[in-house]
Order: sequence, then C-alpha cells, then structure tokens
Amino acid sequence: MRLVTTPHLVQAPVVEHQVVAKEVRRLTLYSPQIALDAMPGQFINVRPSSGHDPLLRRPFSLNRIDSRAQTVSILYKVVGRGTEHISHHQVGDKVDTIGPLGRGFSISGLRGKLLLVAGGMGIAPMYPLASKLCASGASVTCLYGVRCAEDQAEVRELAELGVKVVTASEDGCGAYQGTVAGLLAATLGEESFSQAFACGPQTMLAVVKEMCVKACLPLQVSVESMMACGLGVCLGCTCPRAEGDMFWHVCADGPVFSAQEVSL
Amino acid sequence: MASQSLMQTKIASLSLQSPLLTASGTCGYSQEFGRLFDLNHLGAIVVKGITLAPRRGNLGTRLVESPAGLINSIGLENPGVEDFISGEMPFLRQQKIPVIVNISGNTLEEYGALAARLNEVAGVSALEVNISCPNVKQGGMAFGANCESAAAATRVVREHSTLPLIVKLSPNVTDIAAIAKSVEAEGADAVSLINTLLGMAIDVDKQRPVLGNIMGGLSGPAIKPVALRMVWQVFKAVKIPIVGMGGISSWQDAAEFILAGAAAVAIGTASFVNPIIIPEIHRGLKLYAEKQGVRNIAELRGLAHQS
Repeated sequence: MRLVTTPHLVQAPVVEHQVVAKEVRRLTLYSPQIALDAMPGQFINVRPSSGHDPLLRRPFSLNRIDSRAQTVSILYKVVGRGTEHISHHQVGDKVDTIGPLGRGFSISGLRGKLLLVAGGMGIAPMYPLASKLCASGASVTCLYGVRCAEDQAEVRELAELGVKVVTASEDGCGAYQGTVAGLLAATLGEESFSQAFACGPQTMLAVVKEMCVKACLPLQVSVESMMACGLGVCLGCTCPRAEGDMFWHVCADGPVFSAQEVSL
Repeated sequence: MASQSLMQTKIASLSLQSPLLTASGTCGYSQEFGRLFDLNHLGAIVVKGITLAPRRGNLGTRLVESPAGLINSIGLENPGVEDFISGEMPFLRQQKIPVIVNISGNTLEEYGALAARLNEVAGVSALEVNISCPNVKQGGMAFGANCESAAAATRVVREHSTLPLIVKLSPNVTDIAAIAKSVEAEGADAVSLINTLLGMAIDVDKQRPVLGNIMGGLSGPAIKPVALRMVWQVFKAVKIPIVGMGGISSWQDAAEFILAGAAAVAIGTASFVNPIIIPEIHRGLKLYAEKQGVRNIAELRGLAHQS
C-alpha cells in the first residue's frame, strides 16, 4: 500500500451545493490543486465537522473534475451523521478536504465500445470517467439501476457527453423493468464491448463480475468501504484478494480494481 | 539556543528532539505521512506492530465509528519481522529520528525470538512491547491482563535485547499501576499507556455485531479522560518514564498528559482525522512551554501532582 500521488490537504470553499435528485446532492469545492491532479475513479476524504463528533472523514468518489473551473464535486445522499453535517454546508463555507486519493480507472488506450454499469449512488464516478472516454473517441453505453425515477441523477448530463444511457428500475419507471443485473444480461446478449466499468453495492458488483467473466469482458470495479484514514495507514478498509488469503486495502490499492484481482 | 532545546526530552537512554511520537498502528511504517510532512519534526516513529510471522489480520468489518471515537479490530495485520526488516527498515533508517519497533507475540517464545532478531538490526532504536495480545498457551488471556504474565513477557524480551524497552500497557485491567510496577521490576526502561479500551457496536438492522471480530479497541477523544487518569496513577507508582497516549488531539491534551506525568506523548487516531496534526501540536505545545517560562519541556512533567 503506497500512495500513488501526494494528496493535498486543503480548506476548500464550497462554490455550489445543488439538489440533483430526491435526497441526492452535489457539493462542488474550489481546489486548484485537487482539480489539477485528480483522475476519474479517485476519491476525496471530507471532514464533516471540525469537532470530535462525528470524528472521522468520509470518503467520496469524485463526481466532477473541472480543471478549467479548478473545482471538484462529490455526489451524495444523506445516510448518516457525516453526510447530515455535510448537507448543511453553504456556498463560501470551507470544507476540510484531502485528495485526490486512491487509484482511479485505467483508461489509457481504450477504444471502441465501452460499458459503464452503475447501481444507485454508484453513478457518482461515472461522469468524469465517461467524459475522458468520450473525449478519446470511444462509444460509451451506461446501464444505470435506480430504485425509482426520483432517485435518478446524471442521466441528462451523461447523455450530453454522448453516452447512451439505459436505466433499469424495479418499479418500471426506467427503460428496463428489473435490476441493472438483468439489464446487463440482456445487453450482453445483444452487443459486445471491449471493456466494462462498474460501481455500486457489493452484491451488484459480484453479479456484474460473474456476467462479465462469462462474456469474456474485462471489468474494472470501484469498491466501497468504511475507512478511517484514507491514506493506507490504518489498514481498516479491506477487500479480499482473488488469489491467496491476503487483503487489498481499498483506499490505497483501490478503490478501483481489475475485477479479477478481487474476491467480491 | 534555548528555543531549540526547549522540546528535547528523554525516554530512558533515547534522546528525542520532541516529546511527540506516533502511536503504533496509526502511521504505518511512516512512508505515507512522510509525504505529508517532514518526519524529522517527530520525536520518534513508533511503527505498526510486528509479529514473527506475517499476519493477514481480521476478516470482515474492521472499523466502526462511535461518539468521538473509533473502534477497530485490524487484527495485527503486518508483513512479519523479516519482510519488515527488508522492506521497511531501509526507509526508516534514512530518517534522522529514532525508530521504535512495536512487537507482539502469542507466546513468550515469540516475544523472545522477535527481540533477539531485532536486536541485531541497524536503525532500530528501541522496542515497544505490546502485551495486549492473547497468550495462546495460557487460555488466550492477554499478557497484559495480570502482573505475572506482563512480567514474564517483559523478562523474556529483556533477556533477548539490549535495546531500550518500552512496555505498552493495556487499560483493560483493574489496577494498571500494579502492572506498571511489575514490568518496571523486570527491567522495562519505560511504559507506554494506554492501549485501546475493549469495546463493541451492534448493527440494529442486521441485529449482529458490526465488527467481524465482534470486539475491538476503542480509541479517540472519547477515551482521553480514562487514559489521563491512568497516566496519573502510573506516575505515582513507578520511577521509569511514561509515554502517554489515548485520545490526544490538541496541544492542550498533550500538555495535560505531560502535567499528569508523561515524559513523552503519542498521537494516534487524531492523525487519521488530520494527518498533519503532530507538527500542529508541536507548535502549540512549544508556545505553551515558552509561556510557562521553562527551559525544557521536562520541567512541566508531573507538575499537576504538586500539593
């Protein structure tokens, strides 16, 4: 576990804090250093309060990396005390942030048809990834599973990049009725891709991996874990290795892994 | 040159340029933090606990936050002593500050073998002996849980090592001062305290313990009053120096531990929240010492005990 790049410790001012879907918000922070160094798939570690409670920072995948505006954004839902504190931030407030952290997606040299698979908040890292992939001339499809229509974020923005977005929802509000795994099975039956990227709940990632292995489709997964330091020091965020009985550490070895390296 | 020597202190024969250390397990083997600040601002590096054989650590969830605290059950994940020596010591040896290696064993033989092996390694300045691990030959009770087994672990390390020995005490005992006396009697050069307090959390949705290992060690600001009280008690009981730790997250906290009797203090969980907190605490503590008009920080040690 060694840091890939030297992270920046910054007090980043909030430049925008939007509600983008039901309970889903995007927090945009001004940080020239992080915006310059960040790569799709990397994360930032945000301190929710300057006090002792909640104590730890919260890790978030980067949802926007804007090197021109020198900003980075996170996409989040209020699920606990950390995100509750973060949700109160207003434009101009300074947010204690460390980043960029972790290893992002491997995207160099990728061409042809590429597939993104997102479940729920797993949509967060897809925009900066798709942005790079589309800019290099790839044809990108995004399968996006949501619980209901109101949870849906990013569909228009991804489409504007040129991504073909297909939504799956069990309540029937999406183009496909069912889970994103069902949609993936249907898609892989009709089309072939040269690389897939997935982010979402662990159970979804396990199913996606299984399908991609069957389809001989190389897959990169962005894994989520509870973290204390985010720097590869505390060894708290484990993900079992596919081979041997040792662990990866999500913050420093990941959060993005080649699916064949991890046991999901 | 008064300001330069102001923060210098000693733990047994170890000269430290600052009384601030990293707590074992909270700075890895120092390379990560070395990218964020100049490690030479530290008094010493105390590395993540080393065992004889590599350990993969515990399965399942290893961390859970609690009010002003963190409960962890990492399970001593480490590469083992040989890979530590070949993989980590070359970097550590280049630093200009002392390197204190934390060792853990499941048997007395393992403590002895670790002490003997590290005794011949260049760049190791001292050993910190973690006696909070279970004694597998004695029913799994922690070595640090009673005076006899704490003394036995200290004795075996003392027999195999000429390095300064700091014995790290567990707070999960009835009388920590008695344990401190027993390790002092076996030749410990210093004691460090406290290790984490045993705790747990339950997931009310799953109706199961959160941590894969069920129980874990509580650290962070929540435990500071307990740690401070124990440093106070041990200071009254022993003559050897004390390295105080447990929830220190500001220079004021560090000053409290020194006033209670600590010769040096270690910063742990607070570094997870703010990885450059040690240089920040150093600056605050130095200003405090200057304002107190002392020529050396050691003059403040134990002052709160004055009647």
